Amino acid sequence: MRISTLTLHMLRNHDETFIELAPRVNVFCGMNGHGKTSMLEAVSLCALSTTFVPCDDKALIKRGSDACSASVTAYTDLQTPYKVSVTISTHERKLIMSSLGKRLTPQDIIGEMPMVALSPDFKAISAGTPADRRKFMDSILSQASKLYMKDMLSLKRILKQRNTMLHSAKNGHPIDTALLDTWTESLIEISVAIVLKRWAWMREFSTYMRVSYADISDGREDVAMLYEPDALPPELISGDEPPSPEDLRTAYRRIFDSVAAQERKRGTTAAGPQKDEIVFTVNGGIARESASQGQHKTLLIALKTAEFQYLKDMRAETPLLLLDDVFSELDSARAGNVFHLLASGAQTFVTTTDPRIYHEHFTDAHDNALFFVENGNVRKAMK
Amino acid sequence: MLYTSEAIESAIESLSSLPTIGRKTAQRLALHLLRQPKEDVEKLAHALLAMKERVLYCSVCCNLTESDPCPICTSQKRNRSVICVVEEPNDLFAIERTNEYFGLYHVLHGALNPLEGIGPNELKLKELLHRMGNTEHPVDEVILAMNPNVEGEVTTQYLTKLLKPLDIKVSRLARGIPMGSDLEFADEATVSRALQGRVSL
Repeated sequence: MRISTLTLHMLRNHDETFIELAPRVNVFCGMNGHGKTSMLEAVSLCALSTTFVPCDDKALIKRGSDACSASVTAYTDLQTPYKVSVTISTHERKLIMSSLGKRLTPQDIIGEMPMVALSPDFKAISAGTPADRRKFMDSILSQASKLYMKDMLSLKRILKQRNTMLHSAKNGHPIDTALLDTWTESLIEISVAIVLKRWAWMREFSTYMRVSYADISDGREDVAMLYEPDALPPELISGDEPPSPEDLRTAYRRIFDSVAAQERKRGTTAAGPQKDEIVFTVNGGIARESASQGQHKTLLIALKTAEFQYLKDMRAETPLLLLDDVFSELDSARAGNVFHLLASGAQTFVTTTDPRIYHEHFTDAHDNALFFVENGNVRKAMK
Repeated sequence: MLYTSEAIESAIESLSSLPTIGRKTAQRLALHLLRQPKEDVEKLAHALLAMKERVLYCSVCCNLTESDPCPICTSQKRNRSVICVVEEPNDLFAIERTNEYFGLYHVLHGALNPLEGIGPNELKLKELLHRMGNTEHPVDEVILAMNPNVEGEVTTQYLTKLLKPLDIKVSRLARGIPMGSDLEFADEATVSRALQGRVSL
């Protein structure tokens, strides 16, 4: 995928920004708070329909304005043109249009323009909460499979409906047990589908991850990635063969029977894929507990490299690469690994406060560009 | 007030409370009606009132009708041993348009939806179960034709649970690729469902 033009309208501190992008590396250089990351957020908005920065999308709207938008014109690896524009307004739904049609939903565009973002914030994947890890897994799987996205939406809807029933049970309202059982059955069905997809993904993805981690650490350290579905007995999913749907169904039924009383007391669903966990281990120790700062950084680069390769293979399309303020946090050896990833040929968007990054690494090629960002104004540097 | 007339304002207010009609569309409709001859507007008003006064639920299938029981339920040409259950009258029209179905219907007027406070008692379920006990024209098969979303799915499962013990054949609509469209344009979820529900030849 290559973006040829990018337009921002009333996005963060940009009023109206239109730029033509270089096919390889685009470096956005400027002081903090002047709107470098907003350029990357605009790309993210067009690729994922949301920003990669952990905040509400409405925060993207420039103060005093009631809507912001981002749009791109791009070309796939096979040179097919692709256009997309996403508008976020304070009062209305997200408005998404692309070459595929008007009035689209996020599911329609996610995955069409695959994207991998790397930012120091993402250390939370290995160091943060289970929710951070699920988000990482769901984001990759959603870009790789529309079916998975659809299943996740169903899961969310079923949980909402089921929790409404449990909540009224908690408040002492009589509830129809047969109806609650029906919601439980449909929760089990969707959970089985999701667990099977996550299981298969973990199998494949962990191979990518081990390879990229070994590359970065020169094979000195051993890393592994395990899928731990909430409440299910470990022996069910630890084998080399995918778990049988019937076994999963039986196990979930037993689980929901045993938590039934507790669920009614608390008024919310007590088990299911919404609580699944991924565990990373480095040299046998659980990364979240025992990994060093350096190991977390290596792990993050390895995970993002794996994500890039995995999406590239799955979608048969080179993902866009977003590197937000990455180099300030990395020592030269790890920075070298990131440059290695850059060598894959993907179109890349880099933010930095230090123009030397560009002058040292990207000047020779004709395909790169340096942009200066100041107070929401973007200016292309002369060669 | 944006307009100098309270009458226009209140017409816009009423129109914009209709589903899928926003304020701008309501303004356009109100001004359009204002420019029409008086007879036309009266005709519309009468049509709305007449509809409200005359239309009622069929006591058998719960469809909307002016004569109770409705023409479908009283038709002698229809097969009385098959009942197709739908969520809304619109869904009934969709099936009628095929000219391929000659059984009876039952309209639930919704699907199970706890978030909107719609439980079994809010749907025309009792009426459906009552029909199962009809000894004069025993029911052999119930076709569940709910919408393919989370709520429709749960309604299907719930009804199946209620109907199965009565020793009645329960079936549901097939899910798959729409006719006349190309496989390549179908979305992944539809294609995958179609694969799961493939038919051996």
